This record gives sequence, C-alpha cells and structure tokens, in this order.
Amino acid sequence: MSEVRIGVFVCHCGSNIGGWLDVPEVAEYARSLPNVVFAQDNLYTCSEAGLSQIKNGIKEHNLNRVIVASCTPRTHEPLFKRVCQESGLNPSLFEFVNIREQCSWVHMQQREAATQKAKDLIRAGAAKASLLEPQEDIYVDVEPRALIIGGGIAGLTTALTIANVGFDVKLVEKEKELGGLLRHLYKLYPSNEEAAAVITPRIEAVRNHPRIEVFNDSTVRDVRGFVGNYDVIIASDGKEETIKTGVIIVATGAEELKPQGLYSYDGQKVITQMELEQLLADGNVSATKVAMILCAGARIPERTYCSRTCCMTAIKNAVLIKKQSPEAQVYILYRDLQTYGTEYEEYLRMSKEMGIRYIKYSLSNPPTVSDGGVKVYHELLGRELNLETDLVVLATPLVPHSDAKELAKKLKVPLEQNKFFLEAHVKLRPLDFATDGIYLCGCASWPTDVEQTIAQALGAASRALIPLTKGQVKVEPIVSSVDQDKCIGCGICEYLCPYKAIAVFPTDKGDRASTIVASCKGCGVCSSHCPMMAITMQNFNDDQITAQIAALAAV
Amino acid sequence: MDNQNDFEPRILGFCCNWCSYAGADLAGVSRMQYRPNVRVIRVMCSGRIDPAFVIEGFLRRMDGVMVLGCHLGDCHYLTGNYEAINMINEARKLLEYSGINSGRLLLDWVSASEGARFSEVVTNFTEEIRALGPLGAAEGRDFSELEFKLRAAQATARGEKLRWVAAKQTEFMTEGNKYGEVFSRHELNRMLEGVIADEMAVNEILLLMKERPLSVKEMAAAIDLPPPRVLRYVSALRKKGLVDLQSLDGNSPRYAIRVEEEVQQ
Repeated sequence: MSEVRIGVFVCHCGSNIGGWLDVPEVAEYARSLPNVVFAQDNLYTCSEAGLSQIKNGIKEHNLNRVIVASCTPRTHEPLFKRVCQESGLNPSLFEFVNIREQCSWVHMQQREAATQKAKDLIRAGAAKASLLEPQEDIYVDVEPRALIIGGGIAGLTTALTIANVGFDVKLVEKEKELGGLLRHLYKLYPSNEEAAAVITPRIEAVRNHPRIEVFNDSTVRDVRGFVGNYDVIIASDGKEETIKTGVIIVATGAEELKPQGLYSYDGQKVITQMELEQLLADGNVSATKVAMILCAGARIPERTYCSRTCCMTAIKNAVLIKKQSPEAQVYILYRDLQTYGTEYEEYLRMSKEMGIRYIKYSLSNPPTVSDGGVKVYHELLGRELNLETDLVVLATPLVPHSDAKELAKKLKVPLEQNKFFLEAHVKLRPLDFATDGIYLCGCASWPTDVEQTIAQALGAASRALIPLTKGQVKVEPIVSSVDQDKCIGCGICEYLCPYKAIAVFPTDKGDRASTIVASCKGCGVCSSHCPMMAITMQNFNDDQITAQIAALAAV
Repeated sequence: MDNQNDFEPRILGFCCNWCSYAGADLAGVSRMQYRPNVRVIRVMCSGRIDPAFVIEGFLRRMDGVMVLGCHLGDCHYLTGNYEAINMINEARKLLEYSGINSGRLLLDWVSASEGARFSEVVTNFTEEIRALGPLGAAEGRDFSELEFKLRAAQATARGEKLRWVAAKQTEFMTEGNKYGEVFSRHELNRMLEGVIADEMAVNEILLLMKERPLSVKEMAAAIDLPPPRVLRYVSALRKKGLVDLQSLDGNSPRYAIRVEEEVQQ
C-alpha cells in the first residue's frame, strides 16, 4: 500500500468552536500525528474559501486522506465527501471528527479540557483515517412511485405536485374523506377566504387525476425496504395490499387538543376554536359577549410548545364575529401574541381598530371561567377584570395524533419530545427524515398554518422528486463483505440480518455467505456476531475501531 | 484521598449513528454542559459492538466503557439493540471473569430527541466511574494483574467457541436449537458462563505458556485453578496439537506451545 498522507482541517466555525477551545493549538497538534502531513485551521471549513483550502491541500500536499474536524458528520459529511471526490480523492477516504456538537458546545467553561478532548478525537480520527480504504459507490434503481400518508392539504398538495410531474402516486388516508383539518374550518386568515374554496378543488383534482390512486379508510400496516425500494403494506377493509414505492411522504397532520377539564370546557358555552368554526360556518353564532382564551393547554409544563396557529385563528374568528354583529364585545385573553410577518401584524392592527379588546394574563394567574363570566387578572392594568360573557372560546394547540408513534415505528423514523415527527435537521433538512427516501410536511412535524403547510408540501414533493426523476440513488458504501476463505457457511449472519441482506450461497468451496449490497444498511450486526470473524463492516471494520480505541486511550 | 478527588475518569463511548449519536449532537445544539471525560466512537448500530471492543477499551486502561443505542423497539435497524443486549451481557461476564467491576460497563438507550438524557447519562456514568476510582482501584488489584486476565478475555471474545454461543442466543431463545429446544435467558446465561469459564482458563494457560514452559502445578497456582482441571485443559490442547510436552522437571512434565514449524510438518 502506498504511503498514507493525511490532511487535517480544523474548523473555527466562527466562534462556535474557536470561541471555546484553542483551534490553532489543536491544528498544531494534529500536524504532529503519525501519517499527518498537513494540518490547518479554517474560519469556516464549509465555506467556499474553506472548501477550496481542502482542494488546494489535496493538490499541493498530495493528500490521500482528508479529515475535517468541525461539526457533526450528520450535517456536512456529504458536502466534504463531494469536495474530496471533485479533487479526485475517493470519498470513502474522508473522515469526520466532531468537535462542535460533542465538544466545544458542551464544554464551554472548560477550555483546556475541551482543547484536549478535541486533540484526542482528532488522534482517533487520524488512526481510523490511516486504515480507510477506497470504496466504490453503489447505485440502486428507484421504483418510480410515491406513497403519501395523509390526505389533508399537505398530502393533497404533494400528491398533485408529484403526479403532475408524471409519477404514480398512492395516497393513503385513514378517514373516509379526504381534506383533513380543512374540512372543519370556515374561513382562513389572513385573506378570509373560505377553507372549502381551497380544499374542495384539490380533493376533486386528486380524485380525478389519472396518476393518483386514493386509499381511504386505510392505514399503513408495515413498511419494509430502503430508499428507492420500499414495500408498504396498506390495510383497508380488512384487506392488505403491498405497494412498491420509491419514496414515502409523511403528511399525517395533527389534531386539535380537546380541552377536557380546562376552563369548564363543555362544548356548549365553553367551546374550542374548531367548534366555533363550525358554528360560524352554519351561521349559528348568536353570542354577543365573547371571551377567547389563548394558550389553553399550551405552553404549560406538560405541553411546552407554542402551537403557532391559534393566535391568528382566534383573531380571525374574533374578526368574523365582529363583522357578523358589530355590536358584539369580543375579548382576547392572551399570554403572548404570535402575529409574525407583515400580513398577520396588519391583521392584528385591523382587529384592534374593529374594537376587539386584548387582555394580557400570565400563566401564574390564569383566567377563571364561571357561568356567565370570566375573571381575569389584567397584567398590564394590574387589576382583576370581571367580563360578562355568553360564549367562551378556548384556543387549544394542535397535538400529534395518538397513532403517530406507531407509524414512526413502522417507518423507523424518530419523533421529537412532543411526539411530532422529527426532521433530519431543523435548518438544513427540514423536510427530510434522516432515513433516505422518507420526507415530511405540514402539521406532522409541527403546527403549521395552511400557507406554511402548502409551502412545505411543495418542498417535500420537490425533495421526493429528486430520487424519482434521477431514477437511481447512490447507496453509501457502508456495507459488509465476507472473507470467503474464513467463512464456513454457518448462516448465523443470514439469521440475524434484519434486511435479509446477507445469505448463504453454494460456491465451489462449499456454502459461503455473501452480502447483497443494495439491501445492506450497514448496521454491522453480522460482523460483531460472526463466529469466524469472517465479516468486515466497511468503514467500521474491526481494525479501524480497534485503532480508534487505542488512539483514544493513548497519552 | 486527594488523589481520589483529582481523578478524572477516562471513558470510552460508543454511540449509534441514528439515535444516541444524534442525541449527543442535540445536547450540543442545546448547549447542555457536561463533563469532558467521554470520548465517543460513532458506529452505525449498537449491535455492531463486538465484546472484543469493550475488552480492548479496558486493556487500554479506560476506566469505563459506555455503549448507547436506540430505545428498544426504536432501533434504526429493527433489532440491532436487542443484539447489543446479548453482546454487552457477554462482555459483562468476561469482565467479571477478569476480576473487573462490571459497573464499569454501561449499556443504555438515548433517542435522537433526548439531548438532555444524553448529558444526564454521561454525567451520571462519569460520576459512577469517578466513585469507583481508576481501573483496578475498585477491584483492589494492580493493572498488570488485570491485564493478564483481560488478554485472556480478549482471546476468549475473539475465539470461535464463545462467539458461537453468543451469536446463537437470539435464535435459541426464539426458535430454539436444531432439535427445537427453546432456551430461557437463564439457561443461556449458564451456557455462556460455562463456555467463558473454560475458554478463559484455556486462554490463560496459553498466555502463561507463551512466557515459558510450565508444569500443570505451576499453571494451576498461577491462575488459581485446581490442578486436575488444568491438566484436563492441557490434555485437550495437546490433542489439538497446540501444546507439546517440553521437558521433565523431576516427575513433573513441563508443557510449551508448539512452535509453528512443527505444526507445518
């Protein structure tokens, strides 16, 4: 094997790393490590300037291994691997060392210890890099079909977008009817257009689209496979059907919290905004003294998040009541108002001009609802008010569906702490899951209003269209390989592999296992269990991991 | 006692790419501060962790080893973390046989959304190891003594015999062996322990003989086992052609590892 020449690029990440540990010292140290022929620190390694420094480094110093010590590999690994490839270096010869999320950001008051830890991690990275081997990329064909879970505004929009490009779409809806939450809304802010005018044409378009097949009253029973080649088993009417699909989009939405036990909720005199929408749609609001309580069941210890849509929904419904009967008194009891952007802020100002009254309360001193009235301590006036009411409306948050956990388990994607679906990265990959080929949009990931939902749905459709239009996806060459001379064909690996990606085949040496690379997901269970130690997990092999352990333990 | 207070444990961590490593990242994004004692190696799945890696960590004088995977049922690879339970269970037994407090090895679950939990697990484990003291302190032994045992444990972990039983655990507990006999966890543990006891002894004997030829009596004294049992192992090794009678010390035969040229003949 030719001489190993490692280049180490240590990132300041502005002050994110550089502010908390001594980056130049770390780079200096890296230079002293075995096989390291070049090391430098960069302000932002991921910037254009940083990337060209890597390219120059590879060229000028004839590097055949590259290490970037910066953020988590979960974010920028593909970027740096691409840069290596552009410079003629096999991307498998790139190694990432995480000194931000798992070092500088978590040891902010311990500069020396953090600097030492960064050095240790880079030493282990260099030990592994020395043993990296070039791998060939693996390409897998993509089944030209999308499966969308959820038939609300998000699902309908993604379905139409993908189908209009020319791909088959299967849309799975657990309820009888399409339309989701919008079926229960009257008018939408900030334009006050009717929800039906938004949703009905879309439902019609989906129903009549030759490329879209709708499965209503149906649920996802099981999901198998990997990007480009998912098998999704749909259960409807007691029957099961397996759908082969290249991509999956989760557009399952959310539901309104039913505020049982909150503020004397009874569905009659004390109702939710969703129930008010129905009354408004039916023209059944006769109340003239209305109090709306915001953050009912939201931003409290057991449900800490802001549901984002409820402030504007309440203001919009208050305006609608006021428009219907201008003499009506409408109070909005709020803790903080979220009316971001120009249009919503304008809408708020308009509502104040119409005479809607805003009263600020605090979590420690919430309003109390009794028959015919609401008592509230006005934070800004500093005294208690007794409001006479004939209707109390609670703005409750959107909450995830109770079956989200079950679906997440089938898809093998994570939920966040409030049980909404968790995207791959909050900023950089907001519409993807970490699992390739699965995307999300709308309220499945967080409460979003119609405008945001449509934007996300279009975005998720575009993301899903990338593998569909390419027709092929590249699979990370993190796969196992079997040493046919050591293998005795016992079949333990075949039994343990969760993807049936390794199997025993007859060969002229007798039965021998071998890996089906397109199916292999790289977990390495076969390798850690092989009695003969015949299986190598590429990029995470025994020698590499042992070298990392030894390097970490050195000093 | 000052030493004890200044002691900064060296801890090796293994995190799976999908859950615990992401949880560790989230702890960073959330700026949760924790002790800088753990050095993490990223693997794709906790089921990748070979008990040999754990032993290697202690051989390299780490004071603690921590393996974190996805919560049970949430594994990105479906069942990898159940296999991690089997593997870590085996590693724990090897440590116990090596005289190492198995509290130095932690297997726990952290999801991608549990940044706070990651920092809590790390903090708690760091403090537990700090309380145990440097490797050997809680054990009341010198590292050199432990090292010998760990080298035997390493060979045992990499040896075919133990790997067979360990790898078959899931199958034996669910579908049973080829006669359809299904084993309980308890029965499997006893089976594992039996194999570990034999293999540890064999590997210790081989390690001793690598130093110099020894009589059964000398070996038995060195590894604190009854001489008849040692003789049984030595005879088995002779049958396999790994060990030869080297010389006689009075009436006691001395055995040595067969040198390679002879094996090739």
